[in-house]
Amino acid sequence: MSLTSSTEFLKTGLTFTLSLLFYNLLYGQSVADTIKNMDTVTVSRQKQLINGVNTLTLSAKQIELAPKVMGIADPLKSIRFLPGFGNGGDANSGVQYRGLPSGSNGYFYNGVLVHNPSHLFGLFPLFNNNVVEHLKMYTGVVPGKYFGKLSGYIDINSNWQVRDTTLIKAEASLAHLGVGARIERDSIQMMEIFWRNTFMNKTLWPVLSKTGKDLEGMNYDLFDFNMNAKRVFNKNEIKAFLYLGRDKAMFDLYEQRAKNSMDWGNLVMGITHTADLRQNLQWENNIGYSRYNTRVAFDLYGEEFALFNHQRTLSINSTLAYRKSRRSVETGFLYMMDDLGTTLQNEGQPAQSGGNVRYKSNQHLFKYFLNARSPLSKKIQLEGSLNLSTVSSVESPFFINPALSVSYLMDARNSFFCSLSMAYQPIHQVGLTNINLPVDYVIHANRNLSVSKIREASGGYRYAGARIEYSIDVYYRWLSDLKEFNGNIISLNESNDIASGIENGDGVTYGADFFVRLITTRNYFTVNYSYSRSFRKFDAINNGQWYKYIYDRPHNLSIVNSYKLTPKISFSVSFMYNSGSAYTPTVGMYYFGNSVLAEYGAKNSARMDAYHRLDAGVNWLLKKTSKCRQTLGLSIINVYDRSNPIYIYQSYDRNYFQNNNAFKMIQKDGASLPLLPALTYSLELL
Amino acid sequence: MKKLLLTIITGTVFSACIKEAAQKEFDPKFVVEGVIEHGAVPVVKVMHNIPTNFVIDEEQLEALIVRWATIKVSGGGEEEILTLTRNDKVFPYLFYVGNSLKGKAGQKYKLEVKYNNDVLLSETEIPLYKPSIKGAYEWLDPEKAQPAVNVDNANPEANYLLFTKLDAQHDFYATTPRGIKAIDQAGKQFTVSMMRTRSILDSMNSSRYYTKGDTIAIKVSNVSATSYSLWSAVSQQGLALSFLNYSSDFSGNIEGNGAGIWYGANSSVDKLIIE
Repeated sequence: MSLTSSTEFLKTGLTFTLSLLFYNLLYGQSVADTIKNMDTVTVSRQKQLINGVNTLTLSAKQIELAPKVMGIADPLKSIRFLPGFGNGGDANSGVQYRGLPSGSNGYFYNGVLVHNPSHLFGLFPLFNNNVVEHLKMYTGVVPGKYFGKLSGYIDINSNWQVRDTTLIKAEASLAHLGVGARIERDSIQMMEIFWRNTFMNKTLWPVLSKTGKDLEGMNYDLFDFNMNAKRVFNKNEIKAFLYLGRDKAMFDLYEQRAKNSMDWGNLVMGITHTADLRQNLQWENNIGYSRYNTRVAFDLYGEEFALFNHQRTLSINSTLAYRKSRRSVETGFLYMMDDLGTTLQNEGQPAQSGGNVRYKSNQHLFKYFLNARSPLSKKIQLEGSLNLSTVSSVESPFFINPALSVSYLMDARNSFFCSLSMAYQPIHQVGLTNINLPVDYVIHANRNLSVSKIREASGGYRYAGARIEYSIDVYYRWLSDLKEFNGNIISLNESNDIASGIENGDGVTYGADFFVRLITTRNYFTVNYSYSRSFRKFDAINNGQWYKYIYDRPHNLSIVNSYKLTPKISFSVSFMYNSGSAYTPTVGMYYFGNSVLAEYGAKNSARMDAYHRLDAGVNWLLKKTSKCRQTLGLSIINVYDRSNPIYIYQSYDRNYFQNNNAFKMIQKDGASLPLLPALTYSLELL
Repeated sequence: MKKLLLTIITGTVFSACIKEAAQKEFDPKFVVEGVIEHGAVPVVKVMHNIPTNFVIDEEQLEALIVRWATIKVSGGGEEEILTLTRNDKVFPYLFYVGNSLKGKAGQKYKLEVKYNNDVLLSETEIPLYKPSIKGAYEWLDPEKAQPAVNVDNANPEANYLLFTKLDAQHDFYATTPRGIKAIDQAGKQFTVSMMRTRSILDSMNSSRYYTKGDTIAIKVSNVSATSYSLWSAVSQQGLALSFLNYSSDFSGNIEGNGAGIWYGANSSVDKLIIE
């Protein structure tokens, strides 16, 4: 794998992403199920808080409210409107929470870990909102079955409701087709399947290749399949789910002489058994398996290099829970086995020939946990957890992470809380770039790489009214043994030891989050403002001095408003404003080795222009009968076509030399989503 | 309650401030690119760095090239002060070359660059092993020929840098890929296809390929592992790669107020005529 091919590959990946967006701009068709929007306002008048203590909750119906990229609701993108979340960019699945990157979050589907939850560089949702009930984000005092991430845990849960209906769903566009069915019988059993497949290789790329000269040979399609099943046996219930998805892309470089291909995918499945042992006493057992693998191949003039990555995780957990009114106790254990591997395969070499294995490791984790929640008095509520964990192959294998939060309930609506917690991350997800292509290196902590740690202090205020909810949170996070890739991709490619390119350091993040949600019969309105700072200090970076982390984006504002104009028509708008990402400026340059090299200023000492974007959408209920329901939706992303930079770099201006016979460097930036309309149509048959 | 909230928020925001490093300004330095090959005289280029966004026209080019340095190469009991030479067909068109001292395989060589009060020092060695190569090419289409080189992979410790040039050109230019490590190649021989890279003097339309009638020379240089890693770092540092967010300064193996590489090479050259 040569340097240039790597570079061109990444560039082409982005070219591809942007091309897709332009295609949507030109042709604007993409269909998703938006029927749920019509019900949102009336259903949402429940007392469920979005921002609870240690927990954020977003229902599938709320996820549907904001205007959607490509017309498809995306649970992961939706949480960017919640307190504490920043904007990691458009062409990735990046979810930055309280100053930490996407890799510091754990993504779970029905309690089972999901690696790299991204289709189409984050533009197509991996989680299908058609089969989702709600999303929860845990931080601070988290349920015992989660472990191994610093920032928090995002668990997306399937819709496990069981009544007595049959529902068939279909969605189609020129770019994709989705079909699903849900059968619920006698309130005791349920089965749901949903299959989605894009067919862009038949419709999109042939058209694009005629308009874009760099897109000849471009292919990209993906599919995913969801299956959920549930059965209730007296006091027992069994839930099983399966997710299978795969992306396949291929593109040419260097005037079609280099063929590059990459494919990646997830298999996630799990079975949960829940038994009501006696009143208020429940026993839950879960076994889950998650597999993620990628293959990135470069066929450069007949010589093929391929980079393989895989991550497989088996998890087993058992929880005994006593829940009664304001009291609860949960105890149990979690076992996880994680297997990682990275292999660089040259032409003619067998995939496991030893010399080309760049990384291979597996790690075992065992955790005992005890969580308890109880009132100390009428006004004071305690919630705490104590986790005892052991991780294989690390120097100090035992970890104790306690967490405690105390809530003061002034009255039925007003409350304060403060919280202290610790967490560890033994599996490091180190991104090669700030663009979330699926080629991140995932590395275990071992005797050479320490476990990352976080200590967090947070506090806040909650108001929970009938129609209005608002909250204020402040937090401070101390981080140690963080990992950063030194950025030298070439040495990484040439080295058999990936860990040699990883640096170790500390960090802090702190900030304040303000959130308001207002619900009326016609209106759903949320405003979120987060002030967030994130700094790092690494001996090997920036001369050992503090620097802004790339995701240090102090100001984050988001607004969502959904308004029901008539029983058939509703409007929605969303607006986001985020401070620009920090980047390292160039201060000098010189000619060397037939190229121009840059000299850099202090690490991340400059900031890109702010990101802001207005999206709008309208949903029209075309037809609603007892057997059929049709909806037409129009969404416009980036209404005023703001060019938001997602990265900045310096480049030699060859054109300038050609025209002026003088050398000059220019600053270039890559812009994110352009104005992007999408027309959606969906059908439900009962 | 309001006072409490205000205290918490302002306390968090203002008491938690982190003192960042001071802004780093442009720092003038020398840039040295020097090579000594087995059987050949040393060649050293010395230039200045310049601030970003600085437009370099012909007049400023003159100022960019360091022409009054004293450059000494020593090794194997010999030493020589290099002579400033001009060749308008290359860039930089002023550089320093030796006259009598020629590199010998297995020998270490020191470089000393003096300019006013600045002294830059470096040391390198020429590997013993000389690559055994055979050039070839294939037609990608009737207009474009792609060179390749077959390398006898006899020495697993060899580190190869790859170059091509047209017969009419003075300098060899690194190709894509820039280098190959013998240890990464399976089998007794391997063949690498090479793509031509553009010089900064080339136009936007300059071809990355060769065509009928071209006479090209393919050069494969065996360099030390240290030199190879330095050139890898140069590749990484190329500005086109800033897309990958790499933002560490390149320093090379030059001691003093300078950056660059002084390296030894044991090279083989094979000529090809595209027919």
